[in-house]
Amino acid sequence: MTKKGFLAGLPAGTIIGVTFSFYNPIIATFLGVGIGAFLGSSKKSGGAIGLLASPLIYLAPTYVPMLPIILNGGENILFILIMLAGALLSLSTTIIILTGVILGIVIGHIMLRIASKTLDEEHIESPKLKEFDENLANDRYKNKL
Amino acid sequence: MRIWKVVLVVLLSVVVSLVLGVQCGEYHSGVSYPSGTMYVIELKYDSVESSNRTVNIENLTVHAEVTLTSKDIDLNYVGWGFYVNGTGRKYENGSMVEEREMDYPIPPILLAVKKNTRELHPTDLLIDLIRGKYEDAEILEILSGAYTAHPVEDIFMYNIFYIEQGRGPGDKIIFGFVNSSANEEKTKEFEISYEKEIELPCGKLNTLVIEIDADTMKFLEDLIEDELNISEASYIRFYYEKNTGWLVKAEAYGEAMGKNDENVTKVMTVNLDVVLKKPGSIPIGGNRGLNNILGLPKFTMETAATILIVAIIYFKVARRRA
Repeated sequence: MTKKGFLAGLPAGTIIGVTFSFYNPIIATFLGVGIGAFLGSSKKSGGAIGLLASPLIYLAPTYVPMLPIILNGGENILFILIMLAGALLSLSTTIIILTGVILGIVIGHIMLRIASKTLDEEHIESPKLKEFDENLANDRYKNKL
Repeated sequence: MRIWKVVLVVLLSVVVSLVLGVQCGEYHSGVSYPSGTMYVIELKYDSVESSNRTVNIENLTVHAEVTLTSKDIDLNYVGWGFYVNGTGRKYENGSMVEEREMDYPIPPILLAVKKNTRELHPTDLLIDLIRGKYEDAEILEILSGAYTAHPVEDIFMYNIFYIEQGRGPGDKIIFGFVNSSANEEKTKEFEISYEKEIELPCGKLNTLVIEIDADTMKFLEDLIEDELNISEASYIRFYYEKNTGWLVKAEAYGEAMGKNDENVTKVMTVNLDVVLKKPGSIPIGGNRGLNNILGLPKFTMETAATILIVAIIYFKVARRRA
């Protein structure tokens, strides 16, 4: 799990997802988690981003419009929290969070595969690494002799 | 390089279809998800009871703010919740006899709107609550009911909070209640009477007005199965914003008069005003979501998010190539 990838992926994915969640919360959740895990570039950070970003994005149309009301102190915060707990406590939210975690892990895994493939290609193409490999092979041959 | 181009095209098409998909269909997609949408309600009820010897005047005033909230219940239904906060006062012959503070949160798990329709269904949890199933229940039992709450599809009422898009004067809008399991249907179609520009706390809006006069109001008698002596001066008006079809204002005035066997005459008047104070997530005036809440111009956040997506893809590709 790269710390940088996770720290970049979580806010970026959440901001993108929350923006589009007012159009379609489910698609926006997958879009946000996808982008976050894409930046996270590992299975662990993808899963963590999925776990944290999914409820933040999916429930954004419920809680974001309430934020100014809470911040202005115009309403009883306890009652709003009860209302939000009602939104969080539902089967659909759990399903979306689990799907978000799975999607994050899958995209993180794909990104990891792409990264390792790129490293292998770089390894083959790099003249310095080629020279290093040849020297290593020569040393091993000499030692055998 | 090719795969990144494909990823970028797919992501951008998802974004574009999300934004454009809003205008498609019979209903504006934003109306299914009201959140932070606040109405101010003013209710005044006066009743004068007079006989040969006594006159008794009773007044009731209610000032309340109702905030709507919503969340998906499943792929087809969106749960709607309400938060009612206000004060009610009761006066008898000019002196206040009762004052009551109201703080009622109704989480978005009791009522559900079927997407792309005006059907407002109760959930099984609400039906169980009405039937008194949870009277002696423990908190965990209620929470498990809340967790798996799903809409009762047989019973619904036509949602008064919004109408179809692209309607105009002369078009008919259906209101009422349907219980298909009991073969019960109490509905009535009302005509959009005229268009009107009105000034509200959220700005000047073009609205479609449904005006229900005293004659048409007789349908209420069928609905409550009781006789109402509604006077000719009574009316109900609903104002729907033209672009989204969302209810922005409602006003009602009712007068009724009756005489009982003891020769006591009773005159009642009711005055109700419901005004949209904050649109919240409803795209009144074309602006929606975060732009509406942050007071930004149209599509600002959407453009910024799209630029961010392109930048992330570019950053990843550029780093790979480097």
